[in-house]
Amino acid sequence: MTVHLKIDGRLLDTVRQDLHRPHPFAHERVGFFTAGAADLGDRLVLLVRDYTPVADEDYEIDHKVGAKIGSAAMRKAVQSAYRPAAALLHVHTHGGHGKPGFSGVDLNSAKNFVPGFFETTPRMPHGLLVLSNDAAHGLLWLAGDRPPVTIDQFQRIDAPLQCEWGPHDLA
Amino acid sequence: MTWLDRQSFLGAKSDARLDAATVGLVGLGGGNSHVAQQLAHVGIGGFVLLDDDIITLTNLNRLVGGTLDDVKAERPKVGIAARVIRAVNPNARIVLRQAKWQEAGELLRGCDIIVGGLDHIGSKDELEAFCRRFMIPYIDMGMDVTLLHESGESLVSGQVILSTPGEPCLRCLQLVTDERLKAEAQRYGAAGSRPQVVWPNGALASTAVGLVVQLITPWMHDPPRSAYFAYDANLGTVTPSDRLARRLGRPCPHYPAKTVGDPMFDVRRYLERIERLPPSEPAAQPRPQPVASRWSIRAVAAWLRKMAWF
Amino acid sequence: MRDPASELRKIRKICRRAELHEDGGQPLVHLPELRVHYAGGVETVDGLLCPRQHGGYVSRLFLSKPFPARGQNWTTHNILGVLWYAMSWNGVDPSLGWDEILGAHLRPLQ
Repeated sequence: MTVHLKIDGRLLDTVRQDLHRPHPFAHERVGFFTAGAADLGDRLVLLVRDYTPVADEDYEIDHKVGAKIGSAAMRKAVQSAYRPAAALLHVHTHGGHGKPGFSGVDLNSAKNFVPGFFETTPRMPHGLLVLSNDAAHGLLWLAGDRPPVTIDQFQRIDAPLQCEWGPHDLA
Repeated sequence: MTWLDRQSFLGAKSDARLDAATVGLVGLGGGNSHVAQQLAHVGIGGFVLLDDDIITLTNLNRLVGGTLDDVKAERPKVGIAARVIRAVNPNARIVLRQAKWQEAGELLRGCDIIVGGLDHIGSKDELEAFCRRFMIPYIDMGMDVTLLHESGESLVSGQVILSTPGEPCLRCLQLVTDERLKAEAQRYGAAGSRPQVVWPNGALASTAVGLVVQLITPWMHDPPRSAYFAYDANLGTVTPSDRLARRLGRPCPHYPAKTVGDPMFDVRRYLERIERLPPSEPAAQPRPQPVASRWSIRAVAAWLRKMAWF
Repeated sequence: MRDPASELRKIRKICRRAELHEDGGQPLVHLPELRVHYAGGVETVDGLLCPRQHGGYVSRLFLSKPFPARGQNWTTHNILGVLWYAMSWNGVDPSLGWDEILGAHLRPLQ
């Protein structure tokens, strides 16, 4: 199965700027994309609609990982994906260049909270994205009780169109 | 040496970018017959060609690639376009369907760019809405011949519009208006035998192809996200329309971002569908992966055959 | 301007799974498995009701298949990424309740 993601270039730039803003105690800021989806026959495409940053006050200090987002942030995120039904994609940035990877902390916490998104919006897939300054990596859950699949391609809708958002071949 | 060496100025890896791209051509009449030919020459690798019509005698004054032999054989316009493309690039990936585009929308969803050569305002409106829904940049072309009653002369004019998600749409730019839709509906959508000639189609098509190349290659440092070129064949000019200048910087209210995607999509039905695909052939043990395994190329090819791709 | 939520509730008395969507700034009501009276019988078809102006019509009903024995000038459309058919039937007042608009558009099929 192949999964592609499309995002408006200006939105992506805004998100990168937002995620790079310093926070009083959280090392990494996070936010949520909502996205539509479509079956293209040979692949599934996610079409990013909007971005909601987690508000400053919705971070909590956590002695194991430094900071985490609280239940208020999660509630706002699932509400944003309820109507119209949307895929919910948790997003943060590791900065730097080239294709980023998920940390162990990213993956362990995602395994807990992403399946929960299916309680409110079972008809859409949900996932996890990590950005660098010029690329991205993502995982998508198609059901709460299955392992995720990789998002294979990211296309920036802009002039010019760009795949993978960096010096990569379009193919 | 390759056949695209003379266009290396289009930027790093432009050949690969053009080859990897898929452009949908909706309507293969006078306008898009030129576009198909030019896109083949510039190295576009993938095409989706949709038109339900066959070539007739009165198309011969403008349908690029069409021959008298085609008219006698009543060949479909999509077939003629495919032949023109393959003569330049035998490796082009071509999907063609002799059908109204509305009946074959699933073939267009995966296009990188769609170019519309449609006569009816209602069809342009629907095609643009489709493109906005699947976040596909849409280039619309149109040509008109208007009789100027005072002089008895005919004014030949047209426009090429680039409609990109988030930017002004055909409604913002007043090409599609409720009044024009109403007038068309009252004629039951009949276009009649509208005057059409080859050279304005060529000018409009070349302008459209230029926009395609700007969208795909790094030729220009800061290409525009939207465009509206007005063509005046009597004066011989193609000029940016001030309708776009007046709208720039204002978001499009007609296609909010919250409406992108298939509103009927259900991931549970999607999983049921892909799980019904034929299983992949036994192969060498795949390397362990931390995520779900992928379907084989053969399974995907079987599905594509069912969708009448070729 | 009628309240979409209450209009949708009325429509759901006719089509239980009706859903409200938006396209080009206009509301569209998806009517899955709508049962319609056709030529003395009953047929099941998907419908898409636009209770406001659409394509030059003051309101319009699209169906997942044409009914050639009824209506005139059936045309082909692609809305919400799906294929639809509509007959030429204009003049159904968009100020009516959505259930009344639907009924008025279905009448020619009977």
